[in-house]
Amino acid sequence: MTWPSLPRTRPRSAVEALAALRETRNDGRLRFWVLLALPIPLAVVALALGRYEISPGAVLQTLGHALAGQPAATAAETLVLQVRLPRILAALLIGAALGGSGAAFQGIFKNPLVDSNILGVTSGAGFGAALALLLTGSLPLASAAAFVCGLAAVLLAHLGARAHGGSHTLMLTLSGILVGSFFAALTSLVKILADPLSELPAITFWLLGGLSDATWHDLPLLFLVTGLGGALLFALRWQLNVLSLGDREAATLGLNTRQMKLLVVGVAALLTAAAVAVGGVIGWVGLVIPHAGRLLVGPDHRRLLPASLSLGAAFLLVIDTLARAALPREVPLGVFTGIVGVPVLFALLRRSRTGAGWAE
Amino acid sequence: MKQLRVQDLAFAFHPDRPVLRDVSFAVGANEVVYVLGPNGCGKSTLFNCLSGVYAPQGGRVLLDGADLTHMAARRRAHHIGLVPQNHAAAFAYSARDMVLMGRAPHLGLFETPGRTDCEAADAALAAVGLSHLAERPFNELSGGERRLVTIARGLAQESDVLLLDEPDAYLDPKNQHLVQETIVTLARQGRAFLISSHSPNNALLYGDRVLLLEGGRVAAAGPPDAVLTAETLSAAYGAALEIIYVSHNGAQQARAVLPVRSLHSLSSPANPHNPTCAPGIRHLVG
Repeated sequence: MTWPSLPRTRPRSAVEALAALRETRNDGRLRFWVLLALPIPLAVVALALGRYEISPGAVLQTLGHALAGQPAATAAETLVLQVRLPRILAALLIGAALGGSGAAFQGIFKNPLVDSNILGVTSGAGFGAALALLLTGSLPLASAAAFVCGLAAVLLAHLGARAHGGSHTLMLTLSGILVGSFFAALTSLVKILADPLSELPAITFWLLGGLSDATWHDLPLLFLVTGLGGALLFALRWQLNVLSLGDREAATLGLNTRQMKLLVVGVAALLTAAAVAVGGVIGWVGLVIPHAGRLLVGPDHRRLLPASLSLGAAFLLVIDTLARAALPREVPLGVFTGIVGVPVLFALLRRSRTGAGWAE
Repeated sequence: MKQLRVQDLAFAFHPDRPVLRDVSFAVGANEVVYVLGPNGCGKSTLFNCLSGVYAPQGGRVLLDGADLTHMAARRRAHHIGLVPQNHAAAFAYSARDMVLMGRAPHLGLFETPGRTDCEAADAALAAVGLSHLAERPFNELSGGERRLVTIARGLAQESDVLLLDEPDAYLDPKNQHLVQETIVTLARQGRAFLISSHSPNNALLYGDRVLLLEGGRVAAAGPPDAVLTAETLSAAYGAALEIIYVSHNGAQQARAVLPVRSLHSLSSPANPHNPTCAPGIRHLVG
């Protein structure tokens, strides 16, 4: 009598076993939803952390009181509601804006190496803020000028590309780099003209980025722009897949590529400008976050875009909380994101050979 | 019955060097039309003009009387689709996601694909025999498999007319056969196909009509039997080509196009496996 041979299903290696496990796990759906919800628990933890420690339970209680319309009763409640909460909300919104616009820019330019600054938004905004600080010294005015000049830079880049034969992606990139360099040069000029004892430190500090001055006053515009812009990008998430095939193919698949690109670039630029206006120049988030998103949920923008919004919010919140609470002296955000962002990007690039969701 | 009618189409990248001149032809529903011609004769440019990638500088592209060149991209994509020649994606979408993008004309600006779209995509993948690769990243597939995925995307688009730019390139004989049989079946159900190719044999086997382009003009058009003669082919390609008639197991004759050199080696006594072949009219050019 012979035994029927058993099917050999044992995977050949641990890597395959992991890959098999990953596929069976509901197509990564669980991970996706966990990722989307991530900023909420992080925010509660961040509210509790700081020089003055408050337990997460007390934080939740305070939030409950505030939602019920009761005024802050203790110093701890005032600290949570008036100091930490606006700053944490600003970090979440700015992170979401930068992560989401980074994913959109990378999709539109079908290039995983571009970020929110590709069209000179950040340089333009930096110049606007520096000029306002030089002329008036007012922080709210600096924010407004940053917003306006950031958008003006994108408009210039767009017009420059149009003057040279249409909405060609390469032309837009080149035009964006030129506009960015132009505004960077103007910013240097402003710095030279600034008083090295009073104005220059203010300008430098603003350009390095940070949320230590974030208050409730900054939030309405930021919330409005991030909410509307993020919703619009989310609504266009699948069209981003088609756009990332390039103008020609997207056109034969029925997309009005010119209009679509104008819309997506416009919205992404608006998001970036609003973020820079409140938080200063915060690099790396728009570049690193979409890559991390691709590793976690794959390249499909239907998942990548919401994941980038959420991951950006979580990343900037963690970084800002570290900058605020972990170190004896507050480190500017723009510096910190670079110091953390570069090793993260290197780690991601190492993994890219095993499928980081972009082609070589 | 949808009919694609192209009238006096003209296109040039530089005004003094026209790529297409006075190109006129018609493709009816149920038809598979092959576009043949030497490298650089304007086949890809013709397809790009028809599908709206380039705006033609003269002439009209009409589908049942409506001019496609002045139509909104989304409406045009319902009528005409294009399977391009070379393909790479910047991001490693799965094969299924790539095919799903063919559904774009059927979806509104803020819509994402639903159940019907996914079913259409899966059916298209099955039609090219790639269901088992649906989850694999497109960029990790072989050249031939990528070709099949792009063809599936074209099928999923469900346009009245589908243009395929050299679909047989990169494909092994089995897949060439599979793709072209699928196309013929779909054509009989009411769709029209315009296929550029460098294989006159495929045109002979699967084509209802042939359009021979030469220097941006239509050199000949008509049923394969009438157009694909040794004379016209040799003149169009500037190479000595011969039509041979093969009878297989005593069945009816099939025709094949061969370059003259291989014909010599076939009929030489040094080759013991000489099939029954009766050379047609020998007409050598150049």
